[in-house]
Formats: sequence, structure tokens, C-alpha cells
Amino acid sequence: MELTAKIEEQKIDYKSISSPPGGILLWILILLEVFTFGLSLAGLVYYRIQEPELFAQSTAMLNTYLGGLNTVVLLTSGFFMASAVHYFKKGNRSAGINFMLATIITGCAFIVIKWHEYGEKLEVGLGLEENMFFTFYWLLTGFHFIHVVVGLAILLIILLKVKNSNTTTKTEDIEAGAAFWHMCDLLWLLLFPALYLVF
Amino acid sequence: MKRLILVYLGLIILTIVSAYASGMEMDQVWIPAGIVMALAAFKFILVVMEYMEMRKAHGIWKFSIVFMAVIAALIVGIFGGVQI
Repeated sequence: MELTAKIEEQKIDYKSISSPPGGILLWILILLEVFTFGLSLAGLVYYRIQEPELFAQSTAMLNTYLGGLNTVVLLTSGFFMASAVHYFKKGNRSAGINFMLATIITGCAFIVIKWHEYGEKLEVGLGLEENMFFTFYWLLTGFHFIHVVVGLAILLIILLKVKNSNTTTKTEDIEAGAAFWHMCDLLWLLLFPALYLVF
Repeated sequence: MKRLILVYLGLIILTIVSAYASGMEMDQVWIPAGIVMALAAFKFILVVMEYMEMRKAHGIWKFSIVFMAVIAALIVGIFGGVQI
């Protein structure tokens, strides 16, 4: 048995309904997540209609600069992850590993920026029970934060598996990890404008 | 790879445009809100189709995810910007 690590070449028929890129189970999860966050945003809008002034004042207390910076950071990490998948599929393992590492580093940058932002809010006493807007803010961004942490753990496990010369990693495993990571992008792309920009 | 870079640059430009649009002073507040959420939906679709490679997938997957994003963006864009 060959002991060098390799990315198993597989021919996956993405056009088949049962095998979207990343796998059917992950896509069911992604649809459920987008649906759940979408419902929460509908709830946010419902309460905004009840208390428009409170929501306008609360949005003004958020740090739009840090939110925008985090959007750029997540989009950059998404680009790195898509590039990693691209290179793994081309058979360029070392470029794939480097891009995956860059994805993890930018993902950590998101965590650090968000942590700093949370600290700012808590310092001035803007907690979960401040008002309805901040209840939504903490719940939505908090759940998203947990998704990013889980995504980083998944990417780290895949990276260690790919780097380990005794294991064989399937393209589908890397795609599944990438799809989960991109899901964090997708959720943030809806959360950021809804919480920071619109009201 | 060139395609991925172009998509990335497009996403960054759209983010800058939405930051600018959100600061626009208009009599009808729903217009900047609508623009911001339309751009968010467009960025969402770009990530899904290009980074997640859903352009290669079965139509039902493309429809499901795009439908959800558009509905979420519409709800926030229309009712989030409306003045009561």
C-alpha cells in the first residue's frame, strides 16, 4: 500500500440530485440553517416594525466599521477556501494545504475581531437583555460565531488529515468542509446588512 | 483560478457599494435598505454559485437556496426600510 498522502480522484456527477458539491446531507443542513436564520431575520423585522425608533438608536450603537471589516475577512477566507478546493482537485496538494491554512488564519481573524466587538458592547452594558434589538443581535451573531468556531474545527481536522501522509482524503470530504465554511459566509452576508446597515 | 479572483474582487466591490448605499440620505428610506439587501442577495448567490460550485448542481438545489436568500433579503429590504 502506498504510504504517501493523496487526494482520491473521484468523478462525482454533480448534476445528479443526490450529489450536490459537498454532499446531500450537508446541503440539507445548509438549507435548514438558511431557513432558520431567515425566520429569525423575519422576527427581527417584525419587532422593528413595533419599535422603529428603538431599533434605529440601537443599530447606531453598533460598530459598522468592525462589522464591515469582518465581512471582508470572511469573504477573503471564503476565497482562500474555494482556491484550496480548486488546487486539491487539480492535484496540487501543497498549494491546497497553503490555501487551507490561509482560510483558517483569516477565520481566526474573524473570531478575534468579533470577540473585540463583543467586549466593546459588554463594556458599555449592552447585553442580551438591553432591548429586543440587542436580544436579536446577541442571539444571531452568537449562533453565527459558534458556527464559525465549529467550521474552523472541521477545517483543522481536514487539514491534519490531508497533511498526514498515512491517510487518504476524499475530494468529497474537502468539499464538505468547504461547503460548511462557505455557509458561515452566507449567513454573515444576510446578518451583516440586516443588523448593521438597514435599520 | 482567474474566475475565483474575479468573483472575490466583485464581492469586495459590492460590499463597498452596500456600505456607501446604506449611508445615502433619501426621503424614501426603503430605497437604500432595498439596495443594500438586493446587493446582499446578489453576493449570497455569487458565493453559492461560484465558491460552492452550485452552478454545476441539479436545478432543484440552485432554486432552493436562491429562493431562500431572495425571500430573506426581500423581507428585510422591504419591511426593514419601511417608515411607520
